[in-house]
Amino acid sequence: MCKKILVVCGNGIASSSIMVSVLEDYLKGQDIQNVDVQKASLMDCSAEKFNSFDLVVSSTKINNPKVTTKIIMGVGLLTGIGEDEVFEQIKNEIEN
Amino acid sequence: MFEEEIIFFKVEGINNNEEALEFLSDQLSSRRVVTESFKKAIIDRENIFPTGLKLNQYGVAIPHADPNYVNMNQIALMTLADPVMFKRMEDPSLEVQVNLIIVLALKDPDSQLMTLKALMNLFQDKEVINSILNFDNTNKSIIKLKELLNSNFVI
Repeated sequence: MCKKILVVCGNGIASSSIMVSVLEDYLKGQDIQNVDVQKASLMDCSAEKFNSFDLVVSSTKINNPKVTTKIIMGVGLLTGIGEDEVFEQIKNEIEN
Repeated sequence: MFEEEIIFFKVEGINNNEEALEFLSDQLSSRRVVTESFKKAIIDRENIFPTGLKLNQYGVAIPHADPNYVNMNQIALMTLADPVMFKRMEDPSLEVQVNLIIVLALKDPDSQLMTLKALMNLFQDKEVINSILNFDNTNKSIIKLKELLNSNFVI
């Protein structure tokens, strides 16, 4: 089954684009297929939208108790600091 | 992305992050890179969605606003004589001391992805950041910065 990942940042302009690109490179390198990666701005996201994905990777805190989808803090994909830990968490979630 | 050379080193008299954003927005709008509404938009966005990033030993901020306020893709870079506080992107309840501010004026962000990624890679190199923070306001520094960006595939 195809897993759906939503990558979000505040603006949905630059940060999430970089994060998506870094994540897609990683998935490709790991030969992980059947993952659909999309990006969005936090402003445009309702809890319903978040919850329609299997996993959310966010550059910032999401304080919305209605969001039930697992959220991974992904700023490491942007800065490169702690990037491997972020990859590891995402991989675990995909394989679950 | 740096064609307009909106590059300032060791700027003095900047007391907070808003003043830093005003300074760079004014530079960008006087060159018609962005519209006059850009300044308010970028300050508003920074308040809602902060862009301070804590790197290993440095704080960097990468403010940006909606492409609607941008006429052409351009990056403005400024280092500060004295750091100012920015809220952190991953957790706005935390702050980071910032000496290097890079305003991204992006009309078409997806087309600039490689540049942005290269810029992010650059930030991870503390020697590179150190060099940038040590540049003073001379033409020589601007040439050196461009060499540095060039050799790191940013331009």
